[in-house]
Amino acid sequence: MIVPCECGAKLKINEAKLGGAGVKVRCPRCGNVVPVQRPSAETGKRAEQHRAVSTVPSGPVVLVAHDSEMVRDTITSVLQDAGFRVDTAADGVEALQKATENKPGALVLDVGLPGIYGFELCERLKGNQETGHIKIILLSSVYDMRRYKRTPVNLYGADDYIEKHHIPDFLPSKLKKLLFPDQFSSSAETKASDAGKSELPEMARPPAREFQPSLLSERSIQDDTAAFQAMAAKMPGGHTSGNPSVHESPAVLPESFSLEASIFQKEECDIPKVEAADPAAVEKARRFARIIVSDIALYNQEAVVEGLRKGTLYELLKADIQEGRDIYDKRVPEVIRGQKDYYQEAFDNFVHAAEKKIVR
Amino acid sequence: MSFINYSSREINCKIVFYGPGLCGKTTNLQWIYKKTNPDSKGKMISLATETERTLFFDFLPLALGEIRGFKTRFHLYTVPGQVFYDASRKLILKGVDGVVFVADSQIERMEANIESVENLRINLAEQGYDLDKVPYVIQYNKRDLPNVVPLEEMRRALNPRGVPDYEACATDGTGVFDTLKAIAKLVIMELKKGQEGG
Repeated sequence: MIVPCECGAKLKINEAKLGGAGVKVRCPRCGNVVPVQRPSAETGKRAEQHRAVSTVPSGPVVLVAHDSEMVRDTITSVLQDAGFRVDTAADGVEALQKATENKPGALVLDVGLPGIYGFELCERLKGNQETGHIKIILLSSVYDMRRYKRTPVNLYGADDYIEKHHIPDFLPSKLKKLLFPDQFSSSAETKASDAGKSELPEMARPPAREFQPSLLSERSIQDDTAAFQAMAAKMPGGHTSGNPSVHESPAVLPESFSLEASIFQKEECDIPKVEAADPAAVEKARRFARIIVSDIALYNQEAVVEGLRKGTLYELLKADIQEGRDIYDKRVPEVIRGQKDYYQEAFDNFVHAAEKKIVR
Repeated sequence: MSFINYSSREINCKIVFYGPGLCGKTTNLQWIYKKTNPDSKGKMISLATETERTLFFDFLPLALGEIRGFKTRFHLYTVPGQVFYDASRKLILKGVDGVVFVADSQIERMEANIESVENLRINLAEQGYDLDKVPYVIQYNKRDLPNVVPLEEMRRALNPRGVPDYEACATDGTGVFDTLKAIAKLVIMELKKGQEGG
């Protein structure tokens, strides 16, 4: 089966190696984690029903505005399966025109839209009496959920916010909550469940676990990783040791790595080949390690002071330090990393220098 | 690449403020926003974390005169500066018309400046741009701090090509508009060159 990633890569998944609970794979191009589930007969049947609903003229229309055709198609498919009628726009100008003329029930709006930027368009529509009622979900182009576990403090008039890699799991439920708020009060849910009627919110899949920032906590990532590792261990050829790099899932077929040209093709994992004895490469690795440490310290100044005073620095900054380690491993060639742990060296030097300044 | 809207007779240009984490990119935009005529600017949009650090980008539309009957509208963006955010930086550079590199003048951030310039060159190249050909200016920010690198040394390290550069203190606005005017001028010159050529 083919699973599209938001960056445009098509991941070929070996269905035979998918467990019942599915698997998460990391896109080799952009590093996003993409959840993959085996399409069951029941899912197919349900999808058919939903597609039928999507043609019901009274169903709400969702306008999907994104410059990538692949992303538009993916979102369209997800929403049609959930019972929505979908219209699309490829840039900000088209989105503005369609939103103004057709007045869709909701708009899924990429923030990086060409023509008129997503945020600007959002403000224009919300500020206009005729279009102010359109529910807007801003779509953020985010590639590393651990770095973006923080929620934005301001949505600039939008009703909600979603990161692209959460679209399959959370976008339909977010839209339903915005478009049918009554149906999602606890009593309404019970009533709807009892009645089993085929209005849109009930026709769709059972509401997915609602996205909350806390779902992206370190704990949930660890849980996901643990679940993945447990799953991988059961698979033939699966391995669970070392860095939890989900893209090593045996479910990802080797063809997935032959990707079409894109600006993301040369991701930071594209490590240059260097000689072990190249002093320039060693110095570059050391410099990069120092910059990572410097960035972590700069953005966590209070935690650094507290950590140094109480001797809990590594505990307090555990997540950031691990992230730093990950990016160091991605960018520094193995042959250089094998010589010495320059990342640890940079941390040790930083702590030594900072202790002198801070503790005394 | 600039976006021309023929119906509203507007040319939209994209200028990206690039630089290492906490060098003052957002502060530059905030100053520009604060000091610009309300009629000339859109609302400043900033997607920041709860600790006020840029999460995705800052965005400020700004009207700066006309070219042959077309209003020029500059869209100013910043990138998240930390090394971790490379994918976002690449994304924000899409369709760029001009780049301002904001350097942090403090001694302890010189390595971060150099890494960031190299990262800018690489990320531009991945999209088919050459840093030596894109309208580009450099701002040496935080010149008011005591622990700064001498200007000549910063120039040697960051500006070997001798592009327009400015000393600045974005918190009090020193050098901010000089930098903006310089990049706007270079972008407009490039636009005019494009019109003449085509």
